[in-house]
Amino acid sequence: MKKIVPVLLILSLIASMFFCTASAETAESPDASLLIKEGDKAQFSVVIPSDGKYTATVEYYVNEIHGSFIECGFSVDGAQNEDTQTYQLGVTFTSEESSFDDDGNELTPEWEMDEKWYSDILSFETAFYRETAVFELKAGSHTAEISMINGSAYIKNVTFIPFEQTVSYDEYLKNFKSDVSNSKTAPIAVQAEDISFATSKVILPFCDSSSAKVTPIADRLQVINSIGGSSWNLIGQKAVWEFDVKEDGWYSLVIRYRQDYTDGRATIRQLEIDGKTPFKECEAVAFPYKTQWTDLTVSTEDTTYRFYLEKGKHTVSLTPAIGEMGELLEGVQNLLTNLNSIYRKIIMITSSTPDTYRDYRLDEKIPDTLEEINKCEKELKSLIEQMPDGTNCAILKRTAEQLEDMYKYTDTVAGELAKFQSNLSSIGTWINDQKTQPLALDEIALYPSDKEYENDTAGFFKSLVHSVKRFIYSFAEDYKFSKEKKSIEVWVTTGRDQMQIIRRLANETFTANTGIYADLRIIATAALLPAVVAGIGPDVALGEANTTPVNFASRGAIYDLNKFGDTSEITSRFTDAALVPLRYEGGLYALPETLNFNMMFYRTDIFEEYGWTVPETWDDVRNLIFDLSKNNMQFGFTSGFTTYCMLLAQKGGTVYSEDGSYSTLSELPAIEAFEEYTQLYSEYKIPVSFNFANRFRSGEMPIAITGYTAYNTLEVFAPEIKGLWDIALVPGTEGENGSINHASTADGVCAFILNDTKKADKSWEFLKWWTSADVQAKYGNLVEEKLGASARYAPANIESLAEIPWSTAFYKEISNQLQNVVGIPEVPGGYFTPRNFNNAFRATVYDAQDARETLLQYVEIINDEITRKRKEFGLSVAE
Amino acid sequence: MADKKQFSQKFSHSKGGNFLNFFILVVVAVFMVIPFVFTVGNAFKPLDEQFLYPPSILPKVPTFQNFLSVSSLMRESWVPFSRYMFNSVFITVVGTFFHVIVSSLGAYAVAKFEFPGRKLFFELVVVSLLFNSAVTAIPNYLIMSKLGMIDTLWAIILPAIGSSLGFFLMKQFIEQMIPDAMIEAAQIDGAAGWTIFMKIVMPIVKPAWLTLIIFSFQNLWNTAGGSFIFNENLKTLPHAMSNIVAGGVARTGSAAAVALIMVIPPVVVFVLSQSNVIETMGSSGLKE
Amino acid sequence: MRKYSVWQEMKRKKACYLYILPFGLLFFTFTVLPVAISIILSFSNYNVFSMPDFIGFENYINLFFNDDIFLKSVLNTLTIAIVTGPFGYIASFLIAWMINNLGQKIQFLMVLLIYSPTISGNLYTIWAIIFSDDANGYLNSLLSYFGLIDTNIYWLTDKQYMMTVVIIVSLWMSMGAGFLSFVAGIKGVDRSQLEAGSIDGIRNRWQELWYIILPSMKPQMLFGAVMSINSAFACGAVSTAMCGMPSTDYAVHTVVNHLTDYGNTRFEMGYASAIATVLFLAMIFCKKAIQKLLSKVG
Repeated sequence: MKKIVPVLLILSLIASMFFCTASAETAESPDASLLIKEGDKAQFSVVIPSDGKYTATVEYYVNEIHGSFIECGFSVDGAQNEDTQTYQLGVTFTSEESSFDDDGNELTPEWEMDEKWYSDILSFETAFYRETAVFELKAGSHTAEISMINGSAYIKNVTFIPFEQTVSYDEYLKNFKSDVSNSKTAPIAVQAEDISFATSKVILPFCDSSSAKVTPIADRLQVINSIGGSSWNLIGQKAVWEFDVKEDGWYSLVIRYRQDYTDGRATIRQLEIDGKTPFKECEAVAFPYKTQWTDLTVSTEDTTYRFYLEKGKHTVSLTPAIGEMGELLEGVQNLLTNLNSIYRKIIMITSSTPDTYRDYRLDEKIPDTLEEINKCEKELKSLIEQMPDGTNCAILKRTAEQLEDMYKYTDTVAGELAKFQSNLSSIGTWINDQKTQPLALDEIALYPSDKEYENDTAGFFKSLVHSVKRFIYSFAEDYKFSKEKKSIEVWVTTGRDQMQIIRRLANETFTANTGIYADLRIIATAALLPAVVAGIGPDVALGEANTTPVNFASRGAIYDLNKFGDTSEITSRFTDAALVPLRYEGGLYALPETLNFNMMFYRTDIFEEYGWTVPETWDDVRNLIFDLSKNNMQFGFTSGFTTYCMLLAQKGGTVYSEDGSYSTLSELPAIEAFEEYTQLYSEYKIPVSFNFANRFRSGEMPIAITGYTAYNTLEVFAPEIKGLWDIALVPGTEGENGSINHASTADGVCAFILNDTKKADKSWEFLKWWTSADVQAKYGNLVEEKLGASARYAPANIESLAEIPWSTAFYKEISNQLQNVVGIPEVPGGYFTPRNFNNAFRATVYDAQDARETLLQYVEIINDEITRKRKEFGLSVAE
Repeated sequence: MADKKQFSQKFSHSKGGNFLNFFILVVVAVFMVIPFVFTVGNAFKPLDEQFLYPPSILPKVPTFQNFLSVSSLMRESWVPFSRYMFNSVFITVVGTFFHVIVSSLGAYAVAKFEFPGRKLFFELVVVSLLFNSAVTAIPNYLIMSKLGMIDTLWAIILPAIGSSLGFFLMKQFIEQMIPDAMIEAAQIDGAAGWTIFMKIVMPIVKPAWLTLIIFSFQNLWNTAGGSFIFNENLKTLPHAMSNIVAGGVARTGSAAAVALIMVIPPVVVFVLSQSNVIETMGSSGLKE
Repeated sequence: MRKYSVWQEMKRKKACYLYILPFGLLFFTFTVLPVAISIILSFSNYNVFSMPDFIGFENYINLFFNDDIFLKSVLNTLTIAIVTGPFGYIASFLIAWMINNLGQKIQFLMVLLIYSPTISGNLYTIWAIIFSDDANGYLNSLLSYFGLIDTNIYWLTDKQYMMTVVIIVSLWMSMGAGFLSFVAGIKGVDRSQLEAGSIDGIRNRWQELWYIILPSMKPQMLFGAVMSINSAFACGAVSTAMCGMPSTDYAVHTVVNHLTDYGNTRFEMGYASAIATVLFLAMIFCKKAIQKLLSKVG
């Protein structure tokens, strides 16, 4: 008896462990003790049975996330993997049920992160691959440590599983000897847009209404029938579908896709079944360039691959991969780094703007570098040869030719320098392009092995009928959301991509929550005014210039938002600076949508090279200008009224008096600021006009002050200097108490309600919704998902700025500067200010007139006009 | 054709003169064609070259990518591309057709017939060309609004049909090229007014209305009508395309491709009409 | 000869009225009416949003006696118009005539090339880059390369240079509608007249031009002249595109620029209408003068 109890106890303990593990799979909230917050670490002990290679599986629970994955650090016994410092723990997103609008159009579903327990093999991303982390461990006990870098999660367990090399197809076939024939089974097809889950939100289901070859066909109404597209293009974005297999047997896989997003090359997917790659050949399934929807059978030229599936539920997943190009791209990337340093060595002698006819005697001064050039050329040529067919490597060929010329005729190197630099930049872009693997899918099907695949997509005639149908329907459909009385009309001046995103958001959150329909139309900016005058304008206008509200308000055409009860709550969403231009005579006439303010950009590599420090004050700037000009470089500060106002604000000056009745540019701070400002151009000779992106990229202008959305142009135009530049606060002016005033000025667009509206309250609801932190953040992220990082949004809503995917360092600087932005007010007659400022500026800088006298002269003209306008509107005038 | 040969044998243009003639024209032509080359070049520049300053006239690494992006962008729109095309074609064809007929008809009457008010009417037409349009924009809009034309295609078509330029051009040509004698002869033969117009007058002034077609086509084709049309499925091709490519920096390449695509139809129409103009006069002549 | 009264004459010729009816109706609604309204508005203060407020001749008085910028813009416009108007007109004609002297195939190509800027758009981009203020603009970098300048020239914002730049670009742009009508018109010259001329003693192409071609092209000449006047007096687009609106110290501010400034920026549409009316009258006057001149040709 006494022996049974301990045995029973042990048995029940073991049993309960099983139950525990089993129940841990369900979505129950985890124990709070398992939570590891961002910046924390946790340790787990593991026992390894025998020597060998292992992969680590982590069990974790996530309930909220920024972006698509959690970044963590991982080490075993304190030793880190040499390839990488950060690993990713992915999460999955599921889309909800489809929803339809009033007219029957199907709407894009929202992605929701799955809050549940995940069990994932630890992996990391290099520039080109996603790799599973493999650890070589000896038998015995070890300690694994996880540290959270970005994001937080509840971690239950870390287990090590022996690393299995993926087998080849032949070996795979050997593992399954079954001869079971399942030819009587029907093919199992799953619509790709009915995705089960994905590891990234950018894999969007969409409606392709342009083809009859897609199921279901969309001709009159919007029907979601495809998924993916140009935004599903980077490694790590896995899409998973579930299949319910009815019979054991061999199946082949047929996928209907469309891939016309590249310049002719195929894009690659890694195929996994039940979370594992079945055999090596599945690591890179190629989808050739096709402008029409085509069916692809996963196969080689001779053999169709067959997969053995037992009866039951299975998952099939596709992830973008780089295939054989990966190595080649790595090679090109390394080569590019070498070429960049060769470039820098050359310009140490010739400067970045060399005299093209001078012989710099490079063969004497830097013979090693020239040998490097030769080596690089040979390497580049061999890489080109290895490129798969269909790859467009024109830029590589041209660079190789140029390298050859540079090596043979060293006296022409100086003349070729500009072209060389531009070629290098093009290679950088080329690499980025080649990495992308966009693809759109319609349907995935499992075909039983004995059945021959029949192509049942629409032929020519059906397609023709489809096009004609769509054309005819376009006359019937109104593309309005609803003729409901409860709709408000909103006019937008942005592009179509943006409008479609707004429409989607409005449907999903605005209409769903308020029951009000928002009828969105894209219009040209010029269309608003006449429409309002004729009385056929909209209720709400979005994307309008900041000068419009005061113009419209002074003429009674726009609604004073202060009339609504909750205005003060809403205005707290923005800095005061953003609201300043939108106020008039005590009223607030618009809400800011975007805020693009000036910051300072600088090249960290160049500053490091020359040992310069980033200037904090204007005195520092002036000192720096000396150093810069010694090296043929410049400081960039776009000339114009807005940038002048920066200096003005830093000196405590204002543009207008409190009531806006006269300009205070004639007062002391303004004059001092003007003198300092014009001095920069006339004495310190900084350029009056320049193209920022080009000069920054070439290094000619390694530091410049410009709107922070210049980031967007750099993203597209200068990817090769990514990581080599940073932003900082604009230079400031030292105040009396020693503090530095880093005031900056901004521009942006705004949204307002027209006075003619009969639905003021509903319009206000819309404005409140549109400028809310959530919506602005979502909008910014969706725009970026659709158009890429070069479309990064600059919201005025302070909270939503935190949600824009800036790196932590950038965000810190940006939000810091945001606190210091000063708004420039708009007043009646204010249009005279920038133009007369320009006149004053040019007279001072070009014609060497006295700064003070000139400014005073033009301020008088400004004041005359302000007075004139104020009289027109019946406002009080200054003496 | 015999005429031409005979004619040039009467006195020959000096060789030197011919060469100078040609040379000057070549210089002028080269100078004139640069912006067009620029438009073409831009369309083939990859995205990273679009921002070069100073820009290169021809792309360094030409690519078709921009056109491919445009085609996939067009594909993604709710309103089928064919509809935008139809809208533009409709206003251009209807507008041009009626403009040519209506203004020729009126010009014919004013050029060849005496009736009270004729001089005044013509003066009015010519002079109205001279009034600046920035100022008439608002009254124009208000008139259209009262007539209920805003947000319909007629807002673009109707004013184009009544535009003075065509009337003026046709009247001058008819005056120059149709002798009164011809019309009188036809009237004596019993031809009705309309027949005379269509069968005698119009064929003779072919170069004129071919030229008019070029102007009208170019004008209407490039009309975005942005101020008048808000309804998505009434938008013209240039308008729709400019909406699509207004997406920002990322769409710069597509915008350049669109600019080139939009230029092609006017060029084609130009080519067709102009070659006709130049050919036509070789064979026509009056037999007196 | 029986003399008909005006009314009877109208009844007799009623077919003619039918002919001009379709055009007349549209023309009246969309051209005459707006112009008439604008002229009426010129006697008022009209801020676009509210009803106009009639003030008689006040706008005109202010325009001529109180508006310095208007006077400056008139000067600018005249400068540009006098240089580009006649030049553009004569150049268009001469080029059309020179083209006519070539073989048919080449003719066609030439016309296409020379007319291409009007079709292609992107007109100002190239010029803006050539004359750019930026040190890397085409002209600046060319001049500094040859050592002709050592500091940047601000072509588009420095008062010294702006007018020259605008004139150059305007000259280049003058090859438009008039040009095409000349090409067509020269084609329309009666063959038999040319033959007769060569028999009668015409010995070179210049005589041919003056004695035969020009006289038979009088209607086209008038058309071209009106187009020329129109574009010369209505110049302003070049100024805005190249030098901004408004240009530094109004150095290339034309009457049209002034008009749009008042209309679109300052919302003083009544005043703008007054400017437009004055411009209109000036152009009519000019046209009448040209007509007299043309009747002397040949």
